[in-house]
Order: sequence, then structure tokens, then C-alpha cells
Amino acid sequence: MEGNYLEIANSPGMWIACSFIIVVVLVQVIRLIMISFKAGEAIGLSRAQMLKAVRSGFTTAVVPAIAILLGLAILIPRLGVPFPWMRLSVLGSVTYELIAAGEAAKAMGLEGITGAFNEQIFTNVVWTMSLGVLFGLLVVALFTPRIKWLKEKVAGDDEGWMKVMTAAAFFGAVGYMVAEPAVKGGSSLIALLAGFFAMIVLGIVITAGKQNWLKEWALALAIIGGMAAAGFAFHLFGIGGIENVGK
Amino acid sequence: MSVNKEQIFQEKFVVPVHRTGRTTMFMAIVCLFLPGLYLYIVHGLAPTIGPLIGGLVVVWSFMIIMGLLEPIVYYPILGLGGTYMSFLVGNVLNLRVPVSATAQQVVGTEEGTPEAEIVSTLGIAGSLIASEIVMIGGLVLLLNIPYLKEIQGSGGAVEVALDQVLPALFGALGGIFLFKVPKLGIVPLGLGFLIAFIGLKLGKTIPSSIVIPPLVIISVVTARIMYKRGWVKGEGMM
Repeated sequence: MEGNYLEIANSPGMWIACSFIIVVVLVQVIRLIMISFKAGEAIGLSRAQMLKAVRSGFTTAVVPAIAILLGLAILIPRLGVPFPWMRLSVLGSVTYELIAAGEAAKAMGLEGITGAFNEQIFTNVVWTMSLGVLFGLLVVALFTPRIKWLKEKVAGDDEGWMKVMTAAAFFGAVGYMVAEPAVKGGSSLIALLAGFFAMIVLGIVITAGKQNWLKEWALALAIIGGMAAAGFAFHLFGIGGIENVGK
Repeated sequence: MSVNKEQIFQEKFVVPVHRTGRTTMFMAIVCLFLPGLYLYIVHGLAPTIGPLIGGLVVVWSFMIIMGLLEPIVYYPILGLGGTYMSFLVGNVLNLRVPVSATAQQVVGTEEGTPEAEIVSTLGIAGSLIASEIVMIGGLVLLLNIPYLKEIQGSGGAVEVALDQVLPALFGALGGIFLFKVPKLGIVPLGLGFLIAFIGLKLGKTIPSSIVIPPLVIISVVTARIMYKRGWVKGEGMM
């Protein structure tokens, strides 16, 4: 099939190019741990307290990190191994990476990340995903020391509005992304509806049943539910299928 | 807090954290482009500009607003070191914010104090280590399951399912929408459906690079009106 570009995507050179940023992250973590321990001792925190903080961070993060593996499993067949691994272990969330990859592929005329890739589409996806997060990284790199100043400039210190604005921007984009597969019908509509209802059910279980541990799994579970529903509908009733997607 | 302690904290924590944070962020920004540069230099592959801009317009239309606001909103929880680390490794809201809150709770520090800053930084550092270990372990596992090659091109139910990742994701996001911020959802969802239907009637897909930027703006403007009137509140929003 169109698999030739995957040789490039999985080449040793690609692995090396993707690894540098992970080294940077590790250097950052180690440096910050060292600084924190020194400063903590100087202001009177005990070593035990500080180790406790590291341990609690570690254990809280294990389960959500497993959910991120789902994104990895989805992206690897299209983008090879090293690039999705770099993106998901360092820069982004599953949601962002899937949206960015899908939009880049759509701009190239595909249906989304599941169309037939070639090396040109792969290259475009790589650049779109990379440039997509640039702004956010620059903001943190440049403005963290002046964050209070930035806050007043942006929203005049109105924290409630800032939260509403963040949500409105994100969901403004998602609105059309939800509608597109919905009007297409077939497998897309089934996956969409199943994902939607799975999320509602999970939301009810989490809030009404006070099952907070489920929160971290909700998105991954809902996605799997949506995908599974599309698969079953095709298998059992012959609804939808691949050709519907490639139309 | 004594003046002395404040001074020690400033010297031993704030200054070196900024130095390390900023240097590593800029190094990371350079490394961000290594895969793309590798494709260009070694394989002569350059992105086609038109579609690249088309994709970026969509992504940036929400990423610029979020990229600007998220650090401001979460800084009080994440603290200094936590902010640098969290935005470099991503998953800020769903992972780093709860991690930081948990660490501060477990150790029992008071919010906004130097102790809390340090504890938050250490907690997030611990969560980073966990993420990296899981990602490396998971990668090894995934690569040893030969599931993908066999499924692709089979045309079977599993391939149908795998093809529907994005619709499933968007359905799930729609669910979160309805559950958390139904009022904010009405306008972008309604307009989104309207435009998608028009596209369907015209027999073509209207590119999201044309639709999404104005939708984001309309969504923010209507949210502003609702917020001003007190219909939506910032609490429990994200």
C-alpha cells in the first residue's frame, strides 16, 4: 500500500530527531528537582515531605498516562512510531494531537487522519503539529516571569471570564468538528453518537456516583466506545463501512 | 513569613527556576522542529504551503487563545516550576493541575506559600517521570503486539472502528460540552451543524480553515455576552 513513507517515518534519523526534546525535558526535570530540594531545605521543608510530594505526583499520573497510550496506538499506523511518541510524551494532549493531525490531513484533501497517507501528507502533518503548539510554548518561555502583568493586560484580572473564554474558544472550534462527521452519516455518525452518549453516561456515573477515579479514563473510554459501536454496527448490521469514509 | 525566608526563597528558588525554565523552553522550541527539519534536510521533503496554512489556521484559531490564557489561569495552582514543566509536557488540565493540587494536599502546604511552590514543582516533576516511564513501557508493549499490520487493509469491522477515531473523539467532546457548559455549546454547535448541512446540500465539504476561525470568534463573543449577563460563570468551567 502507500506504506513507503513509513520507512522514513520510522527511520533511525527520525528517532534521533524526535529524541532531543525528550532529553531537554529530562534535563529540565532533574534540574528543577535539584533546585527544589535545595531551596526546600533552606526554608525548612523536610526531606520526607519533599519525597512525599514527588511520590504523590508519580502515583497520581500513572493512570492518566496509560490513557494517553490510546492516542499513541491510534497515531502510530499513520505517522510511524517516533513522531507520535515524541508528541504525546512531551508536547501535547491526545485531543490536541488528534485534532491537529486530522486537520493537517484534511487540508491536504483527505478525510482525516485515517485517509491514505503519503510522504507529502506526512510532512505536512509533522509541520502543522509542530507549528501548532509554538505560540503556547513561546508564551510560557517569554512571559512566565511577568505572568501577573500579562494577566492584567489580557483579562483585567477577571479570572472567571478567562476560564469562560478558554472554554468558548475551544468549543467554538469543536462545534464544527462535531457537526461535520454527524451530517456525513454512516459509520461516522454512529461513532459520534456512541462517543457522545458514552461520555454522558460516564459523566453521570462520575458526578452522581461520585466515582472520581473514572474521570481520568472517561475520554479514552468514550472514544473506544464510539469506535467499537461503529465496528459492531458494520459487523452486525452492515451499516457504514470504509467506503463511506473515503467518499 | 519572615523577610529572611522570602529572600532565601527568591535567591534559591525563583531565580534559578526562571533561568532553567527559560533556557530549557527555548531549547525545546528548537528541538520541536527537528523532525520537520530532518525530513527536509535528509529526505528533501518540504511541506506544501497552502495546505499547511489551511491546517494551521484551524489549529491556531483555538490554540492562540488557549496558549495565552491557560498559563495565566493555571499559574496560581501550578506555581513557577510547575508552569514551565507543565506546558512543555502538555496535558496541563487533565493531568498536571490535579497532580499539583494533590501534592499540595498530601504534604499539607498552604496555597501561595513558598512551601507550596516547591511541593507543586516536585509533584509535577514526579508526574513527569511517571508519564515518561509509562510512555516508554507502553511503546515497547504496543510494538510487540502485531495487531496493526494485520488489520490494515482488511476492510473488516476492526478497521471500520479504527477509522472512526475522530468522530468518536468529537462525540465524546460533545458529551463533555453538554455536561459541563451546555449554554456555551448552543451557538457553536448550532452554527456548526448549520454550516455542515449547507455543505452537505452543496455536495462538498466546506474546509474547516474557513469555518472555524469565525466560529471561534462568534463563540467567544456570545460567551462574553452570556458572562456579562451572568448566564455562565467561570467556576467549574474547565
